[in-house]
Amino acid sequence: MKRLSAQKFAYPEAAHLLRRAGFSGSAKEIQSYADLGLELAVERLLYTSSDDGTEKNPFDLEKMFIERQNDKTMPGATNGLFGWWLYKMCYTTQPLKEKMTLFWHGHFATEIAKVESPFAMKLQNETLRTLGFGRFETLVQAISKDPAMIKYLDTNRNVKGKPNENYARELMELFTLGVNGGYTEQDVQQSARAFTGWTFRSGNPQKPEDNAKYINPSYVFDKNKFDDGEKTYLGQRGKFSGEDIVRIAVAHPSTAKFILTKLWNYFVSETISETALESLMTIWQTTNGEISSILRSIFTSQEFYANKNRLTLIKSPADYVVSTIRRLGYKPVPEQCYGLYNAMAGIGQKLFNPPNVKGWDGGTTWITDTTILSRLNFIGGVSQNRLPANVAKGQAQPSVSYQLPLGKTVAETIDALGILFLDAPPESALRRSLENYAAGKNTVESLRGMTYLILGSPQYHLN
Amino acid sequence: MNRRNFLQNSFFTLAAGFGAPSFLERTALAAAGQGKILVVVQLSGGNDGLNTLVPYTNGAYYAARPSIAISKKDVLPLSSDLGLHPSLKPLMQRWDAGQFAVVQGVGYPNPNRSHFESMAIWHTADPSARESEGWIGRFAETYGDPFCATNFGSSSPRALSANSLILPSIASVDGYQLKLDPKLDAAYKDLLSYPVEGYSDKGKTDLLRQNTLSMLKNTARVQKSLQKYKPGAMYPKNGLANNLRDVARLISADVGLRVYYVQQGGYDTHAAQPEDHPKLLGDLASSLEAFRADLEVQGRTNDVLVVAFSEFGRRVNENASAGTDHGKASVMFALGNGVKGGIYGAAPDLEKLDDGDLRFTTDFRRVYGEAMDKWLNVASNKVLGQSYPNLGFIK
Repeated sequence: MKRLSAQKFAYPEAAHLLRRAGFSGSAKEIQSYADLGLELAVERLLYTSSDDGTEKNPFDLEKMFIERQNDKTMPGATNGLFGWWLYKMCYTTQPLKEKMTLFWHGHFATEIAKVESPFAMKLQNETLRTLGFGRFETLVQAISKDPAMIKYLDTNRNVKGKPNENYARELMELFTLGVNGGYTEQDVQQSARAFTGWTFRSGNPQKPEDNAKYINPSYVFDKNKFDDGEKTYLGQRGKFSGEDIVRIAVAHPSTAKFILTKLWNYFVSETISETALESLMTIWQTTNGEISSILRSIFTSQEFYANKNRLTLIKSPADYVVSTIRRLGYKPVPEQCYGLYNAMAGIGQKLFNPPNVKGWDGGTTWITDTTILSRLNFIGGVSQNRLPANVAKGQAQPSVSYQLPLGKTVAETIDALGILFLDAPPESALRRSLENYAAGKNTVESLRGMTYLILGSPQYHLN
Repeated sequence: MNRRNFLQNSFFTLAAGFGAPSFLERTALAAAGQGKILVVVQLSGGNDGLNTLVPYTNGAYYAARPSIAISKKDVLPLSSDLGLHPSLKPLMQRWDAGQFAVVQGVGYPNPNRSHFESMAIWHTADPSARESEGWIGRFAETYGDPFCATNFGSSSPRALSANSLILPSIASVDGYQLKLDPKLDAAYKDLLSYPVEGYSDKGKTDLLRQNTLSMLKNTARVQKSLQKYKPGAMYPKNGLANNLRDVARLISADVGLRVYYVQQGGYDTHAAQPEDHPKLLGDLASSLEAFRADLEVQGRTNDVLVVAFSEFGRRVNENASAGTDHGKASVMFALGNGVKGGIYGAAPDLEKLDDGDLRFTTDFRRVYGEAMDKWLNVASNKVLGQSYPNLGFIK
């Protein structure tokens, strides 16, 4: 793939980069990326560390779990988990890290409804975050031993003599080769045997004496339940362990193609050209499937910045909600983090509770009558300086302290709103509709109405 | 104002302002075969057909499932060799009344054990996976009305996708409205009346614009038709029951929808099936029975046919987790006054399996086809590409 020339990276390109590789941002934030230039802007996004602006995350799951054990009216660790990730998405200074974690959450989709442990879900989420930029095989090995995944796909129920095929099947169908990647039912059955004896340790949340175990779930290998016999898998034969199976599955040529295409669909476009795929396959081979190298190549390519690939993807509910908050430069309080989680859920994306093991289909499937209606209800609040919040009985709604931009004239207000929400001043039909609505009145009321119209426009659904 | 008061108040204004089609109009519609309604229930995850319709005299069944088989004494017998899972008890009255049909051995050629691939086949009614539109989407195109079928839930299944129109998806009837002050409402509709300029993907901007416009139209239509509805039955507390109550409410309001699509998840019982499966079937049966009782109070039982399906059945042999892995053929049900009760389709042979799974005996498109031909009055060959022989489960 051709690289974008450094001179062509300016504010509109930085805005595009942040929409896709992050959750957008304020004009100031976008400008700061534009000032860095192409290479450094991309490096800044790829850089990760623990001092990412979320160090003061108020959602302490352990504390919340104990509080609820003693007082059933408290929110508890599961709600805490939801707030915890929302807080990260809204506050992080390393947005690509959260965007990738969301990508992997959709890829290795796991539902807390079945896992039933916020601690196991948090552990998985941290694994996705920590390993999400590294070699793909390392990530799949870790996820295969992840307690939440083991519970979700019944690996802990898979024992020698009577294998449970759930994990073995999804490992190939959804996590590595892809459904048409060239495996057989035989491969499913044989590899299921290699994951026998893989289980995890946790505790009973009803028993306080189990707390330490429940709060720290961990992988356990039960040798007695492991089937160490010969297995034939994807054309190879041997006394394979589960690790061997993961290694063979990841090394299969279909895997690189499947993962690269999915990354491209998530960050660039619904279709990937032969040239782009070949070029990414080469990087995959030379780096042994290192995700950060793939992302660097994508975000510095001409194709990523091509006009045909700008404002063409439908925002996921997470994108829609979090980018709205980040564009406003607003820092939500904990009650609003819960509220934003629920808003996202209403729009069709329940974090930690994807619809099934395939994750969210994304694209145009985000759009239905009901999801559009929920999107409009959310932005209706935003335009009135209201954000959803979950408050305890008798507690007052937290105040909202962002300001919508009121210019000196209607034209200035329209420009400012356009830059704030669409990264550019509104043109043509949209501008005419806004002007007609304001009818020359540059008041707070018309500011709110125009905000609604911009946020409710078809344009605002696009990234 | 709390939510309840608000709803009561809005009922007053709605009841005073708008009416449903008059009795004469309704009779005319019904006479033209227009009043008949199909409710499709999707059981997601792969319902275990063998433990739903149990071959309770078959030794091979008990041999294959030492810890999860339904024992003979618990089965609700339908015939000398087949009986229902005991959790389906709420539906036995329907069986006795001859309004409950079970189709066994349902499937399609070259079965796929992937949830997603198999569900796509059921949604598109095309085992060759060449068709992109859903079968209800194609039905709607044939019928020619973008408001003839709806999903309940926020994400719309592929069954309702169509190339030339956008079918509604409703999460809840109460929430299905957009309230804006009149000036903003007018400005918003004005804005949506122009195509988006300056964006490169016209397909997407049009889709978003059209979807928003149709949502505005659909919400207005639904809210306008709502009359004072009092549930005629106590519904159990679960997601399926909530959706069915909304379906009953829209049916009683005669909003003009012909097909309703609802879903119940959780059937992927790889483990602990004796704990999970009874609860699922129990929720299903009690929800459907409440729905029927409600329709009776609304005077609409003669107009509604319920059909339930799942993407596949499960492995005949249980696994070591007291569960079952993905399988092939399963069962479908149909309920309603228009149904000719009984068991349809040949029983799959438990001793001639296909890689451990039941072989299908009855193509699922025969059920879809009959529902369209004999209930919805739309020629099924136009939707399915060919005619499938009717099973005769509809009177």
